[in-house]
Amino acid sequence: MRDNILTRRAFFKKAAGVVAVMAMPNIITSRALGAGGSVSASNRITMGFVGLGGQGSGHLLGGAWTYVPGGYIARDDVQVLAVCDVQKERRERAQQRCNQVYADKTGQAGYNGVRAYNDFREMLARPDIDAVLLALPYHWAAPMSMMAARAGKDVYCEKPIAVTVQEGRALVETCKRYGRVYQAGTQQRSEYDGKFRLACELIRNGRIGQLKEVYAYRQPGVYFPSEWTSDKSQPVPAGLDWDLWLGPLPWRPFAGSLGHALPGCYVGDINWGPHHYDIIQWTINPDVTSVVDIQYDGNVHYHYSNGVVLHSTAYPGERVGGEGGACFVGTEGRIAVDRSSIVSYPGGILNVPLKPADQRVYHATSHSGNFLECVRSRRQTICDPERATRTINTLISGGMTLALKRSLKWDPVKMEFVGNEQANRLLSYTPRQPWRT
Amino acid sequence: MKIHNLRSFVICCVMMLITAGVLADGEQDLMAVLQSTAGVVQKCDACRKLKMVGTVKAVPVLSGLLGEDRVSHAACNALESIPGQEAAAALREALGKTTGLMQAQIINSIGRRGDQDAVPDLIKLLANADLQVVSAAVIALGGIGGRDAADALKKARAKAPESLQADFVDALLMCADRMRNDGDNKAAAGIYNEISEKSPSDQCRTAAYRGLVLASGDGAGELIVKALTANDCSGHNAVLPLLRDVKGKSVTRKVAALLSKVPAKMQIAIIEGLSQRGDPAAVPQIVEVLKCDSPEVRTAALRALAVLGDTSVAPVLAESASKRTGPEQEVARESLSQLKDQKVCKTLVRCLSDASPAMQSEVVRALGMRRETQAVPALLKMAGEGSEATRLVALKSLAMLGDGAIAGDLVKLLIKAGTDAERGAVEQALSAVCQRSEKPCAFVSRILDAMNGADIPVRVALLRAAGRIGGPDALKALREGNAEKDEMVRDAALRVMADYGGIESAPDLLKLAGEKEPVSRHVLAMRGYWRLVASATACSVEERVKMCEAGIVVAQRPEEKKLGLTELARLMNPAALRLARKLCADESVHNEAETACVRIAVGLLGSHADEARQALKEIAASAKNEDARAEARKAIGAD
Repeated sequence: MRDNILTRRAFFKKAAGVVAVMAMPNIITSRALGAGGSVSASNRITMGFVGLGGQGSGHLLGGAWTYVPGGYIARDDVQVLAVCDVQKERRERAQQRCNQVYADKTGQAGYNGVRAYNDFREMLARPDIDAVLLALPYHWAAPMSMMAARAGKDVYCEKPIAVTVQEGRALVETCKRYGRVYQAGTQQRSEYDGKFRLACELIRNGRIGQLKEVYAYRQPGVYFPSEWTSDKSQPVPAGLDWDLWLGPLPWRPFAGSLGHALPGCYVGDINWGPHHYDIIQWTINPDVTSVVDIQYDGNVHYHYSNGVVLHSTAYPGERVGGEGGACFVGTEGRIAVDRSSIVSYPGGILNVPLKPADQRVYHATSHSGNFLECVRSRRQTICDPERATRTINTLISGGMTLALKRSLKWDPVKMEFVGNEQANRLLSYTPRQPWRT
Repeated sequence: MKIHNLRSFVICCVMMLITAGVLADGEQDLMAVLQSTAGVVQKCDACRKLKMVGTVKAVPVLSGLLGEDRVSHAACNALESIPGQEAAAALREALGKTTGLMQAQIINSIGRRGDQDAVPDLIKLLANADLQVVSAAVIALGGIGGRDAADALKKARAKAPESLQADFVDALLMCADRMRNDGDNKAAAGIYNEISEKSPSDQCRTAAYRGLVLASGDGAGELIVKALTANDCSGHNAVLPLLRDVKGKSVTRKVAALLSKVPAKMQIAIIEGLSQRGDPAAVPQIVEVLKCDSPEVRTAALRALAVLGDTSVAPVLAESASKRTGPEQEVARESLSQLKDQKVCKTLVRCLSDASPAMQSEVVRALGMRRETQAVPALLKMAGEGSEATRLVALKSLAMLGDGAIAGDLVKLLIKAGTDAERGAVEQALSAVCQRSEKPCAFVSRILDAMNGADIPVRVALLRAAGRIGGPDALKALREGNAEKDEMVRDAALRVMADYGGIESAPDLLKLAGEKEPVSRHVLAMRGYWRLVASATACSVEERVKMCEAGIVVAQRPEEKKLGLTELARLMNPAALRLARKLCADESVHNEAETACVRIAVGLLGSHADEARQALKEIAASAKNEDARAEARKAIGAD
């Protein structure tokens, strides 16, 4: 079953070939070098894209939800050098489209400056790539982000950014250690006409009085693998590197299809949850040194030290909040926000503008723009590893109460549960060799 | 015989449990599964559960699986989580019994447990022939840390192949970070120094230099300066983020002093870093940078001043906003509007007296953007006495900040205004401040009184302001205005009524639309009327149908009828359907009428099935609009 595994040894041999790839000629026209008002080649951020499903190829080539018209490939301040996917058809299609875009842009019919990779390690070994965008199956997000950081790449990573507490902790340390810029793909902090930022700032500045309750409209989620259902592998399609897709996860037979996650590995919602809980963390701004009491009654209720209670349910009767949002209830009103709408009760809350003395949060109007700007300036992004990890830990800690069907206490400083050894044993899993988490 | 029977019985039970798919949750049951002939799936699942509940009792059974293909990983996963020396010892012991990937897996688990006792064994493995094993041992030693591990890693690194260098550096950095966190800065600095000076890889040098700065105590500032002035991007990447973290005013001063010595690109990066550092001690040097030639650098400085500056930089920002253009001007304005110091309002008002007209404009703009309501008297003054450009900006700010208390002043300004632009600006400010008050209509009579004896342009502006505020007095004035002889007044009255009038204006607009000459007044009245129909959601559906019918009667042009049909199509009512069907005979709007019929009829299928189906059948059979025909056929299931 492990015939197609690229072992560390095999990789060491293959890595030598990267030099040869690098040496291949790639003619760039004067336009690419900055003529005609475009950004000069030396000032462009060179990028590689790993994971070319809907999310990844949307970022790369554009799509209705991608926030960048035409995708990164259309940006003058970015030069896409590499695409990577364990599915041959996906990576070759993306490569072809990228090369075509650049051929049209530069007037070079045979442009072939975009390379396609099955193994991301070969791509990371290229010293000419500044940054990578990772849109991966959940279990790959943190391990690959860390490998990219160790390889000197800045990282944009789609959520969920980690599946265990240990991964999040290691991600923060690795990005710090290597001085890398990292952004989590929780776009709501930047996009959607600033609705989420407005809600956050109004609430932080007391416009609904003292914040008492928050409704998340989503259950949290956690990596909590269940038993296998079968030991029989379906035939692995030609062009799919199943073992590399699995990566650090325990080995499982190929079940016939690929998705965002290995089926049976998660309890609750770890996919959309990060959007909801990220905005909520941003707004609640809880004391990160205080223990959170997480009550379980079929749903999840987080009790923060500042008295705020976060429910995993919807606010009764309020429709706004379901699409990546939340409903915040204070002593003098409430605000519900999601991707489509923001409403307040009373309505006037939204009409009184903030003043200079009011507390503001990190302001960005384009998530990808913020990432690229930070790559240039080395500034922290709007959703850096620490913020992103706090969000994912909120999801994981709440998800654990769902998985174990019991109330728990979460210590955000020690990043462990208080007095529950069983839950603490699940804060990490052993990655399959040769991978690290 | 008895033993044999018992063993058979146990095996049978276990096999029954397995084949029946019954989950064994007790530790003893799980161990029994592992000791049985169960398959990989069952054994891995038992390991998964033992990860949560396993105790020292399960250790021997789990360690027995460490050499077993495909189960070894699951056993490691369980052993890694079981506390106590027994699990650690079992993993160490397994090192000698395995090779290749399985051995690497075990090494990985030992590292993740942080087993200090395993360090000697792991050090020996640094000389292993299998690079996968060496790599795992390197990373495990890095994770465990300590002087012995670090020394061994340094020694082995010298002979290690190129492909393992990144692992060695990473492990050494982990060791050094741990030493630094434990207070052993000297030992940590030794490792950081060596990597920083000798590693050929940018990212390794970045990481090492970062560690070196953090381990250098008071020497951090010097190291930061050294990196920022060197031509090595690894150093820049290391220290620029650290400007956020390394404390001390002396560091701020040293770095800020570099601003006059480094090239533009580095100036921008340093300004950004100083901004994130949040230490106002850098403000004088950043203000100085505003004199440089590079717009990009000046823009970065302007942005940083919003974060670091106090009231003293307010005039500086206002001056920049008045002298610069494009994005730089925008940033200056934005920064001025964001300055947090509470004294900014007073400072800005004070500098109005001796500022240039351009700067006065920027100051009054900023006072508005900042919502400085205390500045209203000063703004009123500028709205009366400033240059023409300043007066217009001041009026915009007053529109944002003022309330009814200044309505009288604005009326006076309106009477005094010399140009259409200024009258327009006062008119907007006047209606805005009145509408911000609790009883806006209370101001209308005062505004209308001012019309007596005023020039026509002033009367027009006052009438427009009153009309925007609304209320019975305003409506009466608009009605009178529409009957005036002066064309300008009539035009203004009709436009305000069409654009801002409430539902009570509908009969007036309908009547005015009925006057066919001049056409322009008919068009304006019709447009206003359909706006009211669209917004009349408080009226009943029957009333809205009647409004549509009345509008269509007076509509002259097909465009006007089409607007009516658009509104009609939203009303799910039999009368609306009948009206739309009637209009199907009108050649100029049959397309829209047929579409409206289908939409309304589909909406009525549940409540008025017969009439709706009849209408749909007719459309399906004889409509000229192909889309409508198809929709109708689909709705009645004819396709």
